[in-house]
Amino acid sequence: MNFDETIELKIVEEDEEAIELLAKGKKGEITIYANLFKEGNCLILKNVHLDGIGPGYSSLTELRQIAREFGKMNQVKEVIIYGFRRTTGAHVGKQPIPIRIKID
Amino acid sequence: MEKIILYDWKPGFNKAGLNKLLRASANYSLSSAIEAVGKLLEKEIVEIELESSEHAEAFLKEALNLGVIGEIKSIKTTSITMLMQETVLSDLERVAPVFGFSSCQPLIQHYVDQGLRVDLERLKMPTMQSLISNLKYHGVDEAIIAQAVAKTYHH
Repeated sequence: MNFDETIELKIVEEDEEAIELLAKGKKGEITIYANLFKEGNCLILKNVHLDGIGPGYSSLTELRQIAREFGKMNQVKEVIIYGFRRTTGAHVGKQPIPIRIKID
Repeated sequence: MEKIILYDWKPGFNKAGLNKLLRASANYSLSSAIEAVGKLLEKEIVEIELESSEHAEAFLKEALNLGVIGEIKSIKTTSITMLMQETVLSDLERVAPVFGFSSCQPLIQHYVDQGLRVDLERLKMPTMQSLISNLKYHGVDEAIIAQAVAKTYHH
């Protein structure tokens, strides 16, 4: 997945506060699952987990880029991401630190 | 009927994979699947009921490949005979296929299961349990207690 270029976002499914979001780049796709809340000018994504990221790419970089685009789509000034507990990588079992993304 | 108990996960556990599996093979909604993945991450038990043992085995095999730890628990069943109004039965037969049930029997089981879960939760309420025990202690007939409980919650 390389998101250096423009990304296309599509809401695949919405169910109560849950959302499945598909992000398409030229070289691949990422599916994001989360519980979505909007508080004023802030979009909060809780219980975030991803599918489709290939090896060799930083999920965090792509996630930030997707969140920025999604924030613009929803006309908010900030997106906060609360990921699910980590099950891979060096910090298995740890709750990731919330990621705050300011929207330009 | 087979019950799958998921109770833990291994490093490498594919959260999105379980989300998709629950929705594709266990009729979970998106929100229920996310909730179930969250529960499992906190090592809370997730119980999934599937109709056949083949289905349950296939589900568990896939879940284990995703890094989930769990097992199948068979549920013993017994048959009962009950009288039912023909109009109710014909309504059940009409409703069942609309909501994805193969016949009225699994739909009835679903209704019983739903109602039973609600009442079991109510019985867990400490005030309710304590009230029932107190009434029994003071010699109130169990049938009268049962009638009062039923009237409180079902009327």
